[in-house]
Amino acid sequence: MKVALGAAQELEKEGISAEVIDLRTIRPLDWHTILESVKKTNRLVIVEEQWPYASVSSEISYRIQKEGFDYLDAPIRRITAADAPLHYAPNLVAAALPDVARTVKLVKEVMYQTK
Amino acid sequence: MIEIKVPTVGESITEVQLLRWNKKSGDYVERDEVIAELESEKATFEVNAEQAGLLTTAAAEGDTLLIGDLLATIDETVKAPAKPTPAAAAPAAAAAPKPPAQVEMTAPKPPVAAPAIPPPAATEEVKASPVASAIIADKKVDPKKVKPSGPQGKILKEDVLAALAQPGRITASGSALNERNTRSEKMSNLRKTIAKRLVEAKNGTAMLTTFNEVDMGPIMEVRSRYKEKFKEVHGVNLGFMSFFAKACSIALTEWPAVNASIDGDQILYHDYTDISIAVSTPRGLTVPVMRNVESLGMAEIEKKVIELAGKARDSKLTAEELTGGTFTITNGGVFGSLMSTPIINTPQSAILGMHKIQDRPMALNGQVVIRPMMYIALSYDHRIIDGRESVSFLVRVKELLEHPDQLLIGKDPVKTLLEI
Repeated sequence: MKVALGAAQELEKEGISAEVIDLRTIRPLDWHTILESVKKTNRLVIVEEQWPYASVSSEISYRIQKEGFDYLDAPIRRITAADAPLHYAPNLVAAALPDVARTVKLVKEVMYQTK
Repeated sequence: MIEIKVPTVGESITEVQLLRWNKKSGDYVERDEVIAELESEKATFEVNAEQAGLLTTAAAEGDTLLIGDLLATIDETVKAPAKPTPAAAAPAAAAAPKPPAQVEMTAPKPPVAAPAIPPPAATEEVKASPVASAIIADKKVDPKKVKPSGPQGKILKEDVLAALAQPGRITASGSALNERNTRSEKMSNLRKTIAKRLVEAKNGTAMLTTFNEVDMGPIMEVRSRYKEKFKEVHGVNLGFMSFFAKACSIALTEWPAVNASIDGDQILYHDYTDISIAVSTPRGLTVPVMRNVESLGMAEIEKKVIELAGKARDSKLTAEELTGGTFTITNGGVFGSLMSTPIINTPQSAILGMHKIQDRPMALNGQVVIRPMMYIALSYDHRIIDGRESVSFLVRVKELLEHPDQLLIGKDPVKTLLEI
């Protein structure tokens, strides 16, 4: 959540307005809220501090492409933890977990802003 | 009533031959039924009925048709004859008004343009994001008129919205036709000076223009006869500028008022002719000066013109080369101008405009003959040049140009010889 809000703040400076959704629960999964947001922005970037394989973000991606395919202007992208056990060394932890910089980069990619 | 046209079959193919009609004019056809066979340079193919209805053919067997030509019309309002079972006819009729959804999404001009084009091919052509294709299908936008901005030419939502807001074709430069863009650019110093000087001339002088026309035949004859020799001897091409500069120089000596300028409450007459020539450069117009044209030879004038024009293009003219002319020649003819009123280059008091040489019928000795004619215009400051002087000057220039032999000494050589 901190990463997502931080990235949104960062993006706002560059004129990209991102809507941040805090899911709070994953079961029940409030995908309606996400879909409503996608209808507005036509884009979705999921930040998840978890392994990527068969995760909540993959479930959300499935949901949104099924229910909101016609609203998407870009592929759904996600940023997750590395697909490996988490290390103890702080530098490796930082590299493994989602961070603001990579989130910002990903959002710019779905905005088709290549920099 | 819908029209069946000859479909596009391939990029290089422009015409096809109608092999045979599978249905006759007046037949009732079901939707998607094969109605005709066409043959292109490469293959034969079938044309299907887009709708169920009454077929009326518009071409005969063996005809050669262009792509897009009318092949047949189908009147879809005609009901199916009673013979087929009602069960078979009803779905056809129900399906009739709606082309398949897939076609609609990818090629929004449904029935006319997309007869035999198989829908999968059309899908491949248009790359759009899901939301963009949804809008395209919904608003019936022609995807070809949308300028894609996404990766690999993908149409994004923004592009479709932009196309909807600007329903114009895309021009070659990439901007829409009906776009109303403006852009502001800082005025260059040269442009500012040009603007200031021209307005000054317009407001500060009593400027008016007189016209005449010159038969360029004699000069062209001289040029074509001595072009090679001139080039060989002097290393420059013999152009028109030398003739004009020389003629003006002689006429200026004869009509000194045209060569004068106003200095306060004095009139400043010049006993020399420094002729400015207008040179168009990428940055704007400049008027470098040829000094003492009256004592220059033709080749010297040509060399000077080339030198000044080259310097002007490379922005290497010095301030000295740009000031002090007493008269200006401008050639709008190189850009195709037939007639124009030049603006005086102040503080000078006259300017000669050369124009395009054009073959025109002229009456000569009661005969209509085609001559290469050029309009020449003299804008002058009426404060110091009277009509008599300006018009006489221009007539004299005309005379000199039409009799290039007079350019040598300013008089008819034969008359001079005979001392009459």
